[in-house]
Amino acid sequence: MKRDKVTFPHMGNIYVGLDALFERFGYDVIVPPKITQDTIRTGSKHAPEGMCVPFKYVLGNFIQVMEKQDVDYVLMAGGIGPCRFGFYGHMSKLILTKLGYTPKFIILEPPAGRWFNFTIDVLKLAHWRIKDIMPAIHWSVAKMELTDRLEEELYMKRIAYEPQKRKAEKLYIKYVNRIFKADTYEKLDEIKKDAFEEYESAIPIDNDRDDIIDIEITGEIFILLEPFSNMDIVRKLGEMGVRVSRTSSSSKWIRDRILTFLADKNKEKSFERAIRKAEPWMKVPFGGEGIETIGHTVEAAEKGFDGIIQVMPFSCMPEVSAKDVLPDVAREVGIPFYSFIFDEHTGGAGFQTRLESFVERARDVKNKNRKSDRTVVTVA
Amino acid sequence: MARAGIPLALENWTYLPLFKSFLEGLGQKVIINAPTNRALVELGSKAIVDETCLPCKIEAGAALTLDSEVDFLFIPRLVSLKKGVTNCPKMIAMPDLLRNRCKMDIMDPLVDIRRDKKSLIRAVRETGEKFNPDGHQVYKAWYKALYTYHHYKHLLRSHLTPREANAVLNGENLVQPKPVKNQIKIALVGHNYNLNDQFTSFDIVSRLRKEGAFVYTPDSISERIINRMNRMLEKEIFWIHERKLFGAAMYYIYRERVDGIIAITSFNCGTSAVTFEFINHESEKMRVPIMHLVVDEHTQEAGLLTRIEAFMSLIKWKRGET
Repeated sequence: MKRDKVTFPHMGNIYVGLDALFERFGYDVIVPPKITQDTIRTGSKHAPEGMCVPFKYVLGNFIQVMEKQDVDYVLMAGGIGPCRFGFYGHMSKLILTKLGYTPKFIILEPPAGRWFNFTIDVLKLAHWRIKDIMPAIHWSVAKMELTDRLEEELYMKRIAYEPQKRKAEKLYIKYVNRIFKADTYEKLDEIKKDAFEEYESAIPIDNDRDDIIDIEITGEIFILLEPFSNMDIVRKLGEMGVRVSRTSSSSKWIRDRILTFLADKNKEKSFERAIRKAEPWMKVPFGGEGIETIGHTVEAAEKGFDGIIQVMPFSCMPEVSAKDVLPDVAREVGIPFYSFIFDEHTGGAGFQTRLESFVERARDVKNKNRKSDRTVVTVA
Repeated sequence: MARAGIPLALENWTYLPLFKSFLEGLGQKVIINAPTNRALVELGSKAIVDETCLPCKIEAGAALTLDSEVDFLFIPRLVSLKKGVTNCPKMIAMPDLLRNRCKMDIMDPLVDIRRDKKSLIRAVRETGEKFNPDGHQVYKAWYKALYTYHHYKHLLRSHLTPREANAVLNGENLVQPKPVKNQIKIALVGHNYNLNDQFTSFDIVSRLRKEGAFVYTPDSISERIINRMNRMLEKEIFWIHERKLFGAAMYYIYRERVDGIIAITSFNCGTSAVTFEFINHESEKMRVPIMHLVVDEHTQEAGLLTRIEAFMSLIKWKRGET
């Protein structure tokens, strides 16, 4: 029997989960090629000029796949605004049709009061295998969560201790590939154990080193998660001796935004907490991750980070509004802040220079604070 | 009697008569800033984040110029005015952005019909209670304001610009423009805060009229037609201003059969990047010439005029008039 071919765009580690999901539903999954310069070139050639960069990456991904082979289904998430993300699916459909590609688009709109349509969409997507849906979702989320844990707890924290040989990166790639191929929960547990042990023996964390600082990255989700689109900011920061953490991940995003029924209703979600924290500056959510960026900045200061970086695509409407108040917020809560804007023309050298100077500044502030602490102690 | 400041920018090109008449009905004195000029734009661009669009900078500049003359600024936060429809993120965030920069209070009643159907009437009541404890008087002022607003909308529908319509509301007499037979018909598709601001678009409406064209703007389309035209799309556009643009463009392409479309947008406007893609697609299908103009604070008059003239002569050539 011929199996349906399905594809989806890249966004960070999301491909690991989606691949697992569609495998269970009996699809032939086509993972698009990794995002490179080629992707953005193709995307910006066909996308409208004023559109934000994530759309250009998404469109580039689709075209790259469809140039090589026929695809039956394309999966995209929808939205109800006010962010432009809600139109990504429909716009890429329009543009792809003009180019002569006619796959079926499955655009999962958030079920805001329209549960019937949403259920039908999901059932169609699952080939009417009703029994398989929940196990498949749990399985794909488990895979994605493990990948994100590896990235956030091991890879991003340990580049700073081993910058020359890129050991952390090599290990990370090895383990992601193992997760991608794994097919049972037991294997995932095994991989998790192996990964933590190997990282611990290969790159131990040295808490006594003074020159290592902690910086958090926040901002627009696509740029935050996709290493190519943010000029690999995590690795660059790591090579400068920074332990990096970020405010969102693919699995968190999927859990909070799309699979809302999986979340614990009594527990406050991270984005709800961020909205509460942003209250003194912004009263109403204004789409995208705008208000969360403000809340996360406040939280980062409370958690004791040495700096916060906002990343966003050029002309992103919510993040631009957030950027307007963020310098004030950062000054008030006392945390060094910098904002990077990315688009298809961002150059590496200028980015590197600004990043270096920000890290130096954050380190400076940390040292100064530590000195002042010490004086207080001696006086007391 | 307190003095209320209403900056003449963004939403107020649509709702100025409503807000003005409502506040006056509550016994306040309404002060509106002078038309946009270079100094105001510079003031605004210094105050607000530089990546934002020109209309937002004008709003910031207008609010700051009014700041010293008034007791409070009236900038309602219109998140959603219809079920399933929302506003641009920058406009939703605008009152908060201005609050950090203005000395005076900003009154920002929240209207969010998408979440709460009663939020509009609650906003009216809460705004009214601050000036007049008598609820009856508040509702009276509100319905009177609505009456003025509908009169204003009626004037806009008969192809007057907001400036002319406001003049009519103030008691002036104006001749309503009507298309003559065989006149060139141009659809001017753009946000009303860009089209009507003399600084942003260099008074493009009257310039086109002088060129001998009959100008249609999105303002002159009724809500009903906009909603109907939006059903052409698989997914209806969810920004209130963009719905208007798309609906108007479709109406002019398919029903009014205009000779050409001039699409005006401000640089870095996120929402219209989406809409114009859909409009482009339809105009290509129907072979209607379309010209895109992108304006920002550095746009010069000469460049804009040349392009408009070139477009007009193209249309005349297409009609076989030259």
